[in-house]
Amino acid sequence: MANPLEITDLVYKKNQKKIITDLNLTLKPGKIVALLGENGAGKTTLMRIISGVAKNYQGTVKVAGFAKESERKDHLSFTDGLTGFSHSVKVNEIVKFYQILYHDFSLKQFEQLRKFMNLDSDLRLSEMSKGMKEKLIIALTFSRKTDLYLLDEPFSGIDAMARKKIIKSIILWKQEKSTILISDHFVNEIAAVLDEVVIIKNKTICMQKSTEEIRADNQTVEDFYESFYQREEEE
Amino acid sequence: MAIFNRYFTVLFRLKTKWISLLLIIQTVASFAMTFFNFNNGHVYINRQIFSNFFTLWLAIFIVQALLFIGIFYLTTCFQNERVSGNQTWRLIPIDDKKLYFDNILSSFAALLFFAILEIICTLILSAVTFTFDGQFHSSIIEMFADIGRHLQQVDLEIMFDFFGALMMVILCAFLGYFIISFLNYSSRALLDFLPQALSKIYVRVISVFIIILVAWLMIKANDVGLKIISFPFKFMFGETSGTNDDLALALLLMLLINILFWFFDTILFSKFFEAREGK
Repeated sequence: MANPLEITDLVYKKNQKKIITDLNLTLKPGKIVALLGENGAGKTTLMRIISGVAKNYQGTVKVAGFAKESERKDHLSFTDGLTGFSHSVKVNEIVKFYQILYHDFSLKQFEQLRKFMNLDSDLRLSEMSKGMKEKLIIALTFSRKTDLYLLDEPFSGIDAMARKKIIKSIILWKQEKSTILISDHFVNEIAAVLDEVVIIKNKTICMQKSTEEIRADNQTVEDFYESFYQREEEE
Repeated sequence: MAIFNRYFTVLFRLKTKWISLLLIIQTVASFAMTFFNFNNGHVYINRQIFSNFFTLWLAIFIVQALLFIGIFYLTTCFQNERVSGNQTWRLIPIDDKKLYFDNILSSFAALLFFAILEIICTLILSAVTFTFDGQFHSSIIEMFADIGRHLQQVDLEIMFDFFGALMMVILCAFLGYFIISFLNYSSRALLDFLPQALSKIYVRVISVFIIILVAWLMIKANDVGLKIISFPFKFMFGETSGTNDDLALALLLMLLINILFWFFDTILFSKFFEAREGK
């Protein structure tokens, strides 16, 4: 089985400014990986490049062995902000959209997730709070059966209780061989489910380490992340 | 092919979502205009005046139909660009070239659908007018008799003129879509390329200026090219001899211009035009 993600020598420029440079990253199947970095480090850009919506980059990006953008999109599920829908659209209309356009979308899975998230399918987007919208996005993302899930700050508007509940359940929603790449600021909350940590700094991946190794050094993921930045600042 | 069809269906539904509302607005507006124009707003229940009221309504409805088709065309242009630059739509697993073609094709199909609905509404209103207006009734019968006589004299040349004109209208509709996309994609590609230090407004002004300059240079650089591009438009505005050969040439050139813009748009869309961040 091909790796869910393989990036080689990725360079991305915008407005004559390098956003990502010489980035290499390989993720193995079945892992939950945190993509950590400061604001503006390029986490969202990297996810947009992987999912084929950011253009004009150099290097190769392969998802489940596929380099072509349309094939990559077919093998990944990205937390999209649902900006393509008008505010008056209902949840069940969005679900219909997903059902028609994504062959791997499972209505059964969505219904389970919707109930778990306490979402009403007759609600309109305009009637939803930021947190409810984020829950819907997570439910839609995990209702697809793909090799790679890209979660870009998925818990930003969700209250602490619901966030903990969702994070604990993530491991149950994904396919056994699927990999999740998750970028979030709540490092301590997601740490328990993580297999690997990837840190993006100075426009490239500067660290990729398994949580097992981190814990073997008697460190928590959060401590490791913080100490990494402290070390960098001292140097 | 399956995803192409599914994507087309979803886009078509999106673009035809407000058609019924538009038709209702048009019907009500034309009725109101007729009402207020008719005998200074006083409608008498009189057989003669009543029948004339429908004729006036039909005339206003037909004029408004052209206006509403124009409005609908502009909304489809806007929707094309909205879909092109939206992350939700761009994440769908379909090749960018197919996505672009699907987007344009669904807009044209929606436009065609709207035009057919306008024709059906006009026919219904004509049937009502035909029933209530005696003068209109006899004029229509006379017109059909004329058409019947003319149809006997129709030759290939007239048929070619008719279908040629229809084809020209279709090609013009596509060209509008292609040109608007070209301006959108090329300006956005330039915005992403130029340094950020320049203010956004300044960059926009420069990019529009560059596009105009490049277009002007391209046209001026080659007199033959200018002639080729301007010929179909000259034909449409009656500045050529208007022969059958002219129509064929105009159609051919219009088709070539369409293909050229389609090609450039596809390249810009698939290689440079990014979806906006969907947060």
